[in-house]
Amino acid sequence: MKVAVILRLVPDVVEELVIADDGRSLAEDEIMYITNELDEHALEQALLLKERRGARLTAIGVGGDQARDALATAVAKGADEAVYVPLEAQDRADSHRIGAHLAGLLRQERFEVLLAGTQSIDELDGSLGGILASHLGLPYVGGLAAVDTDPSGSKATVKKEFPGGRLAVLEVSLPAVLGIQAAEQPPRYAAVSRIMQVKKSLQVKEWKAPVPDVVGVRITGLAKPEAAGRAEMIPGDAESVAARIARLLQERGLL
Amino acid sequence: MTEAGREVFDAFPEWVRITFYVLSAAAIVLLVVGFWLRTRQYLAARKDGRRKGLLRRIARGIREMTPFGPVWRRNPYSSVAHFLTLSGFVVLFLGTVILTIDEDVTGLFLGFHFLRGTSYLAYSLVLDVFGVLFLAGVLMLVGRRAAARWGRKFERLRYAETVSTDPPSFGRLIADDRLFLFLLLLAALAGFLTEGLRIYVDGTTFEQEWSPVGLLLAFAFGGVGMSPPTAFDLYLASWWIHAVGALAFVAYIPYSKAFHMLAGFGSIVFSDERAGKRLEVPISTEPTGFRHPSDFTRAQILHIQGCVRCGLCDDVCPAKASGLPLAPRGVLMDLKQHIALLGGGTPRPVVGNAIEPGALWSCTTCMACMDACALRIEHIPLIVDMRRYLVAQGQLDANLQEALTSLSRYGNSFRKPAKARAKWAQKANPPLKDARKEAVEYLWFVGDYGSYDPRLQEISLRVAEVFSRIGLDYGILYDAERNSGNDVRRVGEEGVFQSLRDANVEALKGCTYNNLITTDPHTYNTLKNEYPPANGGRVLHYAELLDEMIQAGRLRFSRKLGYRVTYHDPCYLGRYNGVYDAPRRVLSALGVELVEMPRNRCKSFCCGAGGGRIWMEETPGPRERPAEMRVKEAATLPGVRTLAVACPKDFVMFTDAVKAAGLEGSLQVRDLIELVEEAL
Amino acid sequence: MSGGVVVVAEHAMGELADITLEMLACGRASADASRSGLTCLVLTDDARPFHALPLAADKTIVVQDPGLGSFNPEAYAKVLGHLLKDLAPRLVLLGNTTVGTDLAGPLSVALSAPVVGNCIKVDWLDGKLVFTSKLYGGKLVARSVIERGSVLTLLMAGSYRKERGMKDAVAPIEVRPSPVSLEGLRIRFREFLKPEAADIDLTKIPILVCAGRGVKGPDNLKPLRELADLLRGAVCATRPVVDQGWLPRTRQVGRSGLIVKPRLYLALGVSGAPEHLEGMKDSELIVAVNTDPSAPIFDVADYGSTEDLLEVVPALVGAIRAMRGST
Repeated sequence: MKVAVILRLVPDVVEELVIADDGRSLAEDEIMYITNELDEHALEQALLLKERRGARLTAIGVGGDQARDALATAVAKGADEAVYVPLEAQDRADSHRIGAHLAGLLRQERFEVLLAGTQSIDELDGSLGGILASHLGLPYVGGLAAVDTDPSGSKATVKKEFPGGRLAVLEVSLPAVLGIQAAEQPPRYAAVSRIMQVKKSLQVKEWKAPVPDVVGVRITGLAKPEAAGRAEMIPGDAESVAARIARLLQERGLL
Repeated sequence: MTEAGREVFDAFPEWVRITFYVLSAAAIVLLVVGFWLRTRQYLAARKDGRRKGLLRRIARGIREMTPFGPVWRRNPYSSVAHFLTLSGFVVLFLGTVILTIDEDVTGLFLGFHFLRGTSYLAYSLVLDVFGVLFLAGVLMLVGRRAAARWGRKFERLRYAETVSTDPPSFGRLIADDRLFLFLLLLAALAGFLTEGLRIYVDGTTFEQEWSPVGLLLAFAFGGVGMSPPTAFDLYLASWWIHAVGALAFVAYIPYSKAFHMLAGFGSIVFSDERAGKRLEVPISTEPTGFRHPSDFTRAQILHIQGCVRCGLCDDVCPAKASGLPLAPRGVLMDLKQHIALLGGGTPRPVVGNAIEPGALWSCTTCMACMDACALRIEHIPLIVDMRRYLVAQGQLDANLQEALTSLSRYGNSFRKPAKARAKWAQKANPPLKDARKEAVEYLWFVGDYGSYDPRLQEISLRVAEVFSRIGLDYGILYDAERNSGNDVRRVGEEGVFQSLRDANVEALKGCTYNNLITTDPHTYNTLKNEYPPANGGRVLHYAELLDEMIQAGRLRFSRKLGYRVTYHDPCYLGRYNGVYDAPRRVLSALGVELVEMPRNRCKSFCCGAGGGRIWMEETPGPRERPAEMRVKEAATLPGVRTLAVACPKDFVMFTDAVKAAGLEGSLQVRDLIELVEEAL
Repeated sequence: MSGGVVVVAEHAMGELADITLEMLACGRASADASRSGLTCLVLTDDARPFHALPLAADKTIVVQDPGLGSFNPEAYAKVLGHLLKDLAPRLVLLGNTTVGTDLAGPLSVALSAPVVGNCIKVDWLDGKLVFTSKLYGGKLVARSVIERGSVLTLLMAGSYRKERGMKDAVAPIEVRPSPVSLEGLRIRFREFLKPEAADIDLTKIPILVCAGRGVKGPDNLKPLRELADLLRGAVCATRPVVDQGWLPRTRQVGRSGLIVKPRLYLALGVSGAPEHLEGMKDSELIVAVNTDPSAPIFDVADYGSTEDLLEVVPALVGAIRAMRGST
């Protein structure tokens, strides 16, 4: 059984986000890229599937050079193969573009299971998974918290999260695209020395096809939320803050 | 016989002689086989280049076996007892060797005996005297064990280890401990008894034999009117007991604790002064968890073989004291078991088989164990190596994982951007020089906590204030600084350590400075011992710097703080790097009345944050946390309301502990710099 | 009715989800601004619960088919693809939930219509649709404009007022069978899993103390529990805290957890990612403590502090005790 997981490189929101002069995008120089968190979960789920079912796992890294680092990490964690899909900065958040582009790559090989994070922190035009599945003519279901397949790789049993914290079990005929919300266990740790070792000898295939001219949504303006600072900030040290909050609660009859 | 000398088998029937030689041969065979097994273990390990300066090392080894060594400081009773036993044993052993040469070499092959006349007299006196000393030593050791068994002293002699998945049978170990002492005691008592009986039977006098004890015993036998035939029978019996006991002991040496006579000595000789302070680079990027004999260095094999399970390390371990599953001695005992199984069957890593991960993660790397060890065993490098395996396997708790990911990505453990590192400095007045752009005399490596933790940012500002007031020419690296990596390395993430170190070294390369200063002892340790030499300059902890400034008259105080203060020696400043006096001189210059903690200087008790524990999930042991124990220790000192610290982690841990222990009104934790500022 | 607004309803156990009412509120405003009609689409296996609902739609179309019993993304996408091609609306509203996000991509490709996700506001400006969306965990806001053609949008919970999704009268309702066969689907719904027996029902507790990532470890939950007990409330958590195992999933507040509206919500060490805000932004009084002054939680909080929560909480416990002691 062959499994593929898509790793998107997205801006790290721990760092300060600086808006470019055009007011519509992030200043490219200031962006620090990190693997999309839900894609990390997708990778973990893929590794679990590999361990359970003996699948062969291909990691696909999408973005700039940092994607190569993400691929090395994926291989250090256990992925068998790495494919690098270079993408310009302005395309990296466009699910439609990425979906159409990756469809070309993924049509070349038959993967029983294609995993991606249910959403990414920078996408505006909907889930990559659903779009990709449509291009490939495969079923898609997202928001998953568990994935397992039968030994022959003909169908998958998944647990999908519903609003209100409910989980439901669905069955999906393979091949299919699955969107991961949370892996069955937290993403594992890969020692940096192992990652560096992998990097030295890693053979990465590169998908060099031209990027289709498809656009998801054009952003016309990017700004800090207006309501920033809406809260009345309480000054002083912890003691004064606590005192103020206590008074507040008393005033409102909450004590 | 008229001349002084000894005929060894003269009175005995021939069968005695033959049987004795046969038994001796058997004993020697067992001895050799045992030695060979041990040596094979040693040779299977890898070389570690510690042969350099062998003579100096041996001299050190000899010195440390005397009461002039480190054990005396902590355990005078044990130090004396052991020295008496050791010196007695060595002399008696040499005595037997000399006798054997005299009897079976020179006597047999060269036809003469040299142990005659004056030489024999001297020989017999020396042996008797050292026999007494030996007996005294052994009795002291036996007494100690009795006190452990029936009293409450020397509790470390009773085993209570909790590190392994498959603990060795303590019954077997106790039997080994007791058998060892028993055989020594037997040899001593039977030896004297035999001597006394021989003298009685032979009728030798003081002119022929300067053996005061033997002569005294013979006199006593005479006094009770023992008949010669009885005496002879008793003599033969006693002689056999002594002989068989001694031969049994000889055969027993390599299979028992007694082997420490060699391995322990080797352990001291081949130990490294810098062990722990400066960790060795791993031999491969894929740690094996000590799966093969060659994963150990030869020195490590000597440590493991030499360990006598004395428990001095257990006694001082803060993790063990708070009930965590770590026992430094237990680690050694489990490694002993593990190396016995190595080389046969499928290789298994020691972690998860002989040693629990929980035990390894409990270590704070405070180095109290290594400091206390009489055999200079290097516990911390062993533990770090096993942690490297755990990290490679991904077996670390979620908090530690996050911290390491954060360190790898952002260069700090706080999950804050590198760019925010120097935000605290914006409040400093005058603004701090940027060492990346300007030349400075002192480059101040602030450290993670001093930069990102709100409580410690305050302390950093005070430090900046004091530095400015004394007119110090200093600067910081601003955003280019990264966590120094000391604790990252000790957690076992060598890859992140190296990238942090490389980044820092790169940043430092572009700077012009004379000396490095730091406010964090952990940073201090790694900058001093594990980084490439700093530009030709020195690495100073700020206490050392303040001390220098005081000596040079650049730092003067306008008032004397007359109150009582106690000082906690940080592990990485004190035990690791021997900086005990500089902070004390600073305190003295401040005019405080320093009341030493009951456990001070090298006996200082760790706050519990080291070894990356401050990053791990809190899993407190069943007993109190080390930091709480320590602040309570401080609170016992009369009239002391201030606990002075010189490490940001100590500050954080003790401040929290004071609250947890309910000591808020009575004990205040203050950084050295706060006291300095007060006195300026 | 081409050129109008369509809302794809979400429902569970015979009841429309709150998000549907919010979408109707948004749709109503849009339809009015563009002088077009608002249609509510309900896909279900049983039309009866939806017969007489006072929705703010101009028309409700209920597609009834046994294969639409529970949410099946493939079935829904098939049916909707067909329906929406006929209806040819200008704007399609989907919920920004694990239901809507499954559908947006496939429908977008099927209809060749763009998708605007994470939407918190829809406006009309000279015949153009203007969308306001949250991005980067709520740290930034993005504006996009779709000048012509159909567009799908995913509306975030808590963006519009539910009440505006209803009106006094019942909208005309039409029940239809599925326009396409729902046989041989590759996705099959099996069952809902029984939820873990919740020790308490957070939605009924008036005071909630929420532990976010800033709490740093399960050991630090102790002072929070103390505070919650003191206030006769309960401790809840954000998703990362539950994922770490520090608290059970029944305590999770947010998009994939519970939606709560307590009298007091104390957000401690909570950054304020949109998924969490959806779960608690309607609380009466929100007080947030987070050392990061740019944390999005401060956008919805009434009061805030950047002090360390591990210092504030014990101090607050002390202050409350003192206050109680003196009354």
